[in-house]
Amino acid sequence: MGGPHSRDAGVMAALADGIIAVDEAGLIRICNPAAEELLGRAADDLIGTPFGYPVVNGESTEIDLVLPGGRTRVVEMRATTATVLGEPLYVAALRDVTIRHEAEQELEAELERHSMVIAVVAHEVRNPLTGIGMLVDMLREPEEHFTDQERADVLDQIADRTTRLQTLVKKLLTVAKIDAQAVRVAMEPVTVLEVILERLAEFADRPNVNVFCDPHIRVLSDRSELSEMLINYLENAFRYGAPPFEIHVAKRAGDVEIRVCDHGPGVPEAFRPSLFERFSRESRSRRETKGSGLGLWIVRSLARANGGDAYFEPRDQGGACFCVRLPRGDCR
Amino acid sequence: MANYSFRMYVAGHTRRSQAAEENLRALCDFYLPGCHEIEVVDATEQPDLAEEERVLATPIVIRTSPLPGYRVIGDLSDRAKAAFLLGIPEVDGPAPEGQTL
Repeated sequence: MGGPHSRDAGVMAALADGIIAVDEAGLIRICNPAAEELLGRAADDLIGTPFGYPVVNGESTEIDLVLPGGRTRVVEMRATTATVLGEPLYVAALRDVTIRHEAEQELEAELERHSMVIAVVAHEVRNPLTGIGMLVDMLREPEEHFTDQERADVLDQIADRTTRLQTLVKKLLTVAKIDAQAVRVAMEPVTVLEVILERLAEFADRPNVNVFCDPHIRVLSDRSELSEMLINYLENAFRYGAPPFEIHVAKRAGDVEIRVCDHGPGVPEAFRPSLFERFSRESRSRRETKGSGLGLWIVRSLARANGGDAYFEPRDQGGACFCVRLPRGDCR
Repeated sequence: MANYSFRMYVAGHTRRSQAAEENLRALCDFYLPGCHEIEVVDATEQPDLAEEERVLATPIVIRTSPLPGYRVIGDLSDRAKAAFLLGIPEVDGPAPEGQTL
């Protein structure tokens, strides 16, 4: 490239925007490294070839750059004219907006998640809190005379609502931890049956669960996170499913599959693709009754953080099976 | 008046590409009534043609006839300027949407 071109190109190389200057014939006379980068083509391949006159009505406009191979990239174009050493040039300044668009989309998604969290918390917290308030008022009522049994029943109801709130808060903390990518997985071989029995012991007044699990099967997982996955699946089964409840654990190639099954109405086919999404439509509709719409999303997030996955399987004979696959902990 | 032919390249069916096509048609109807042809090519569907014609950005309109093949890049919302740069002879009357050259 000649003297004036290299001098101008040197100046332009310092700018972040891609700069393309075309002459009166519409041919590229100058392009900077940022423009080479944006167009995916070397300056030698661009100089002297037709580009066209950039025309912008107003401050800027968006155009698509056509990259080698036919891919496109959206850029914001500003246009101006300049006279360089007596030669009029049409100058296009190109700014990659793909990153900006992605950032905007991420921000929108983040805001939507936040407002969903607020909506869920407001709904899920308000109901038990209102209930607790009413029950406490009832106990304080000087005119009311409760028997010991009635008083115990009211206290049980307060305790039940308190537990629901504690569970919700725990789930929200897990969600926040996953969002902050603060899940620190301490993988160790964990005996699956032990964790199943521990978790089943936590559910008071739970229905019977048939467990089919070789006592020696182990997974490579964070023990507390395996516990949390199981709790979410079991809560889900007890809340929405119907007995008999079963847990099947089996080795599959290099993995272990844990399946929590029930014989309830199952999951409508339309809701299955979004079952594991946070606050999925299915979850939102359920929110009218119970459930935060967070449980299955938590299971999948934790399963993936542990090198596995979580998924749903319909049962031929009715009901639902929620599965989690984790790496085997006894592989040698 | 000579017959003018234009080829417009767009990338997909976006609001941007629709606006550019509408602007080109309005511009031609105003300045070249009854003596123009417009061909619209989707560069994402015909990348070989776009490469052959050395299309680096869309929307772009190329005057294919008469030569020289002037090119204008953008949504052509400044129709008067686009018409000027496409080498269309000025005609009497106000420019579309009140714009002047």
